[in-house]
Amino acid sequence: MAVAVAEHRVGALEEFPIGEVKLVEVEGREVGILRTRDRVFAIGNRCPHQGAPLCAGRVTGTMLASAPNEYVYGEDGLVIRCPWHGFEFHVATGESVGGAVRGRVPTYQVEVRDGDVICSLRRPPREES
Amino acid sequence: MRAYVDQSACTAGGLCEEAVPEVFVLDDRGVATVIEAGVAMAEGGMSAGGAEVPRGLEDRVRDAAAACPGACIFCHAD
Repeated sequence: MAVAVAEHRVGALEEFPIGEVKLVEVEGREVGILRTRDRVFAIGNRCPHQGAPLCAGRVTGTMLASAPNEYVYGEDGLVIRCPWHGFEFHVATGESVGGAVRGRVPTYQVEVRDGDVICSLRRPPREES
Repeated sequence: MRAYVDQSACTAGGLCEEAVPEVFVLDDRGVATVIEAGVAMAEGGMSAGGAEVPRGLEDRVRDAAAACPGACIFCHAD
């Protein structure tokens, strides 16, 4: 039997500055909402490495796979860096950048509806990093 | 004792499956669930009140819950 997962209004879109993670509480769980220019993401606040408060970390980009001696920065604003040990995670998938950490940060379904940010604790289908 | 997984918080590292494969397994979405009678339970076993932990495995399940990086394994008495 499937468990019903409730949707929650966590704020108006304008309350979420672009490029910053804002912590909200959904059913007692801390969820970080990140607004980008064209999308919102919802991620858990617990680093799978050692449980650090991940959402206190910086939103950044990362170095992309590239040829030897080439350094290509990308995914700007789509990666969060853990404040404790610097591990990076894709906000869209929760996966660790480069597979550096076993496991992944939980991600949650979130959308903007009539100017409101609506989040549920449902895990979205997996995306490719 | 019964155990279930709150899949909304699972970090999918598979530590529980490694520690107690008789009780935990990663499902087709890659997050953990519990096993009862050889079958992986839907929704981490939450809606069914968890899986019955086989006698003798209780301490290992409690240890797995304590070590879970997502703090999403819950144990309770029958």
